[in-house]
Amino acid sequence: MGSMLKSTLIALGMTALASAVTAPARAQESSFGPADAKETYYWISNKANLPLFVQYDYVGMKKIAEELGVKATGGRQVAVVGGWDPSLTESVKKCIEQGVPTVVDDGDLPASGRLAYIGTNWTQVGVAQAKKMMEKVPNGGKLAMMSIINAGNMREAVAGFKAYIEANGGGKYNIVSNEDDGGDAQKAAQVTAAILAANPDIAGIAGFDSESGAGIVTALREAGKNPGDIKVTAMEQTPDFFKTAKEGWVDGIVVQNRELFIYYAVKILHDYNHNGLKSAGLAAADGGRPVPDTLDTGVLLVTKDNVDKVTAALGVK
Amino acid sequence: MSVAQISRNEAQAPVEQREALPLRIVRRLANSRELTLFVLVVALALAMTIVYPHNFPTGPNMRAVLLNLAPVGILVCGMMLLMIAGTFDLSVGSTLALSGVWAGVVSGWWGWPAEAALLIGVVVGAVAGLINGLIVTRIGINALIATLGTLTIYRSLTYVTAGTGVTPISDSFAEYGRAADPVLRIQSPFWAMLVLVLIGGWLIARTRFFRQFYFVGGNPRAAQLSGIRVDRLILIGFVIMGALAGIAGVLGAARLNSAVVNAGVGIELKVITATVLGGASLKGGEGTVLGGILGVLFIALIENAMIINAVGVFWQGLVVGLVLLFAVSLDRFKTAGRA
Repeated sequence: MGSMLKSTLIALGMTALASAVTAPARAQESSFGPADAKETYYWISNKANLPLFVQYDYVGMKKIAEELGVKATGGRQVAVVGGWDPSLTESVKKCIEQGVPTVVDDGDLPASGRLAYIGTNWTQVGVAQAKKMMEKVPNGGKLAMMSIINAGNMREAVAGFKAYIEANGGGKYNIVSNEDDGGDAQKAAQVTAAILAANPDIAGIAGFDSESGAGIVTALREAGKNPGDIKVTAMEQTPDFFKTAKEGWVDGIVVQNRELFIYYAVKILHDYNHNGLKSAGLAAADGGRPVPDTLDTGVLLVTKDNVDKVTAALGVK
Repeated sequence: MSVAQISRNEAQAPVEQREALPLRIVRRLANSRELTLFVLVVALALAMTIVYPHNFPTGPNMRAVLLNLAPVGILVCGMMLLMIAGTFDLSVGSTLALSGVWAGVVSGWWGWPAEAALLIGVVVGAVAGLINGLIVTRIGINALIATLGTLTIYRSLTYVTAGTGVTPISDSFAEYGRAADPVLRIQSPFWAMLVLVLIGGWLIARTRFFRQFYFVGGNPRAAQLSGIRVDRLILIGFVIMGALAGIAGVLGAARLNSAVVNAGVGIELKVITATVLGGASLKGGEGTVLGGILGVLFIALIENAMIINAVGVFWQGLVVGLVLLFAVSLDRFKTAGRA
């Protein structure tokens, strides 16, 4: 009896704490569309709360749910899978085998049999960063790369960066380091500091996950560097991160147009279910492909030249 | 056995017991984890200094190493206390994030003074620790299960509190994580860690109250029978752990001027690795804060050395894993020595 009372008190205490904690919430909704919608589309990601996703991807999720009058939610029936982890291939295969129309976004799983891939061509992400880096470091020098090393999409970006530099750099560039920051800004700062120690004459650092850039800039500040001393290219993070381009710390920030990811993913799945188009006379249920195989959302590079427009549009002070 | 054989065996015994000098040195090192780690740290630093004189022993690199080990170093103080008592806390990473986000909300969104934000962040950490302690000691749920549960609960509360996090927080708040001393120019998180290590080390080594944790970890039943309030002690341990996670969280957020909701993901394994490397036993009753901090320093230097040595990124985890196994093997050597 005593222990039950204590357990109850603890549970109440935890509930009170949870309530208190949620009081200041500006937490983002993760489910959109009418409650009585006839169809529900699920977006599944093992990092559904990554600030980058909540900030941009969820905007597209909300928009498409309102537009089609369906329910789109972070969370099985019709699925969109954030496919940057290659280990998800088998899970997507299983969805397709069980008749669940499934597309993947952000990172492709080509061996999974997915209906479509919606997202950035990550090789082009690497190329965009490489072009900017070569522009900012015209005389060549040592370069370093940083990413979530086991993420399939980032491996493509790293390979794209490397291939472009090797093919177009005229032998002037030496990629001295390819490190893992685990998608954590503090770890990225730690790794950057070690790269700086190993290569005091490093000319540029390219970061391929959303937290790389913030970590690189933190480490450069802490090392007493000035903006522009070491050229940096990075991926978009929070709106506030664009200020680093304005201040000269980052020379190019790759924007993936992430608002389009879930928007077009759900649209493609909705089309798959409803457009009735046939390919070679075959309906979707017979193996026809009424939707495109790949939808490249392209990249937008934010630099010192266009950052003011971006920060103004995003209301970044 | 004849008399002649007995006397021959007795004559040989002292000769057999006298070990070779290298073996005696190894056994001596194995018997003191702090000494072992100190020797390893010095050896690694010396080797790196000789091989990379222009890269490793530089001011900026040393400052970066010391600054970056601060969060784990702060957490190790609390984890060592818990592991000495025979328990541990897997929710430290989530507590760290929750505390940082709360400090961010208070300073960045509400506009309260930075000091209030720091205090509230630490209090949130302590409350999270208190809840862990109550679940373990009052409900009697195993610490592994309890803190595995709160790991996800606290992370979820972090997301619910701030969604994408708070960025930027405020310049006055950031100053607490970025201010550096004028001489060595090392930022505040390191100095905070050093103060906590010194205080924590002294308390655990010298005060009667904290030495009770060793009795609890060594034999909880005997400790209970001898009048030690075991549950109360463990509860206090969890609160201290939570408060320390709070300190690490607010300082981390201040350093980045950004309260990141996924801060500290996976840090618990790093902390437990450093704590075990520093001499803690999973069975409890062993370990010192000095050992723990040397464990953190050793791992930080290895990580730094691997990048300077251009060790391939896919091999780096292997090296850290081998270091942990090396530490465990030292424990076996020590046990064999006692037998």
